[in-house]
Amino acid sequence: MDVTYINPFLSSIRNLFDTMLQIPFHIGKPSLKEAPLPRYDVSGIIGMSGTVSGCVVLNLSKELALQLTLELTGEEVTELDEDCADAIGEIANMIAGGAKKDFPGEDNSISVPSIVIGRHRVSYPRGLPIISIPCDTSAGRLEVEVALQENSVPTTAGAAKTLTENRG
Amino acid sequence: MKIMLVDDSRTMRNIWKKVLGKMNETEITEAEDGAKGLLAVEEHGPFDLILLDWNMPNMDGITMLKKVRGKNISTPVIMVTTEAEKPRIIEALKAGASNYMVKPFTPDALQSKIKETMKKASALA
Repeated sequence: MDVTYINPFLSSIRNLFDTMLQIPFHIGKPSLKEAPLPRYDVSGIIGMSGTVSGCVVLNLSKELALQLTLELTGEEVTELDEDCADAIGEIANMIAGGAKKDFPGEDNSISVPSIVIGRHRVSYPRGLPIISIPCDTSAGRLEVEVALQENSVPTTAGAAKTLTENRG
Repeated sequence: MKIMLVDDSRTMRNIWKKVLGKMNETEITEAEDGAKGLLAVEEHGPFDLILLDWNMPNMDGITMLKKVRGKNISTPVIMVTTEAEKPRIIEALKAGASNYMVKPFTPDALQSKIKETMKKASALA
């Protein structure tokens, strides 16, 4: 995956934190993520299609999900409920949408977000490189994983081809 | 003012409501997709302003906007969306959007956009 598709995510994450999430953050160096993939409490998944296809996945702990919900909405939540899922979905939406505007091609679409709650591991399509962008905050690390491939012919299907393995 | 908020994210509708609350705008109708938004326009309109997301299930915002304008309804509509590419902005403005706001945004920026849109609408009225 070309850096021209990764750098837009760095800008998009920075822009989101600067405008709507008033929590100190530090974006680390993106790296290739390899198996075995760790488990998380919450994931937000967005499919991308067009000149690229694949998905963007936000992985985070319960503590950080609750904190980011508070930062975004101003409302305190104590459980990973529908409000929290909705907030994480919107954060995923803004990160993916903000990144795609800086992609080389303009013909790209994003799907509505899917949220997974409960200890799980995200499975990606075989052979697709996963680039992980760490974003550290005082409430823990947000990992933004980008798994995209360039298409010679633009695709139209918006669904993310990911699987999640739930563990209760 | 009567304002309708159309976004599938309750979080985003709540953020908009907070901004509107600061502007003392109290009569608010909410819809979670374009189909429900269109129905609300028919059943509870006319509205003074519509804030409209683009990507939603069932009916997206651009389709709803085209259908609203197809009914000769001139309510000011601000598209508030993550869709930030120029062709999308042009498509929305051509379809009759009064203004365009890219997510994410600061509350102040949204408030300014709403004021600017209402000012422009009243000048045209």
